[in-house]
Amino acid sequence: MGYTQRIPSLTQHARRAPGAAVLQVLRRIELECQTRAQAEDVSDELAALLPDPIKSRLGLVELLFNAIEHGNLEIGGAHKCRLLREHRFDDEVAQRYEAAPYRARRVRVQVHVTYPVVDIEIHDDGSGFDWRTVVAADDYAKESPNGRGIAIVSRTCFPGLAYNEAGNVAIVRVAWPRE
Amino acid sequence: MLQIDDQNDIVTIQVSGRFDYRIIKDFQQLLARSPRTWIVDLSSVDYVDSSALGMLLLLRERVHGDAQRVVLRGVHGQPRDVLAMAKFDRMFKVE
Repeated sequence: MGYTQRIPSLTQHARRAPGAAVLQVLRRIELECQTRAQAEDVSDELAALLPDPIKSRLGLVELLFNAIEHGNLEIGGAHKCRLLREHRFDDEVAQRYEAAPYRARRVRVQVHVTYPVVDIEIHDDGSGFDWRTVVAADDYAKESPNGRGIAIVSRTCFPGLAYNEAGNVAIVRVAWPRE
Repeated sequence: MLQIDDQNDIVTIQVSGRFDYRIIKDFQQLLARSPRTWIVDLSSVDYVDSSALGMLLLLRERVHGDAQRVVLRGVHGQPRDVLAMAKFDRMFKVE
């Protein structure tokens, strides 16, 4: 999609599946972001290379936002809930982007391609979380205004979602269907 | 983008394009109103994220969890899949 617009001379095959065509010659990508707006840019670029860009875009955005908000900015789930109810969440996020120690922190995205398999790691500078409990939780129909991101990702975007032991590196594997 | 129609004790919120974290502030400003019924028209929405789910739940809190007082209208495509996964059809009136 995006690639065929930018490189109109791509082959017919590439126009059908631009992500797959690019990934056949790509081995490694590294991206970095600090803010949610940057995280959206990162997600748009990467999702364009994956088999289901709409689902992948949402999955990447949710994982990157988690890494930024909960990892780097250390806004816990209960705190976020309170801030949302008090209409102060966006202001708190903006404030922490500028404040020490959060302002030096980044989220790094490493992509390794062994076509047709794409491995994505999302590293944050936080101390991690008990991801196994969150991924396994079946209470996403709860009433709280937050805390559904991981459930959305693991159930609708990236079924194999995992983290490193500490919980500060999200690990996703996506595979293009073989032709 | 949000458009509001407020009449006869019914507030209709028409959301267009992406229903995501970028419109949290605008959406929250609407919560100061207190109609009998809220209608959220999603027929022009092609993308929701978890923030949108959160906004809808804040709206639900405004009516003390009464599913009949918040109507989600025109849900389709990606938003339908995400809302179904979150079991919002049990928590809202979906038309």
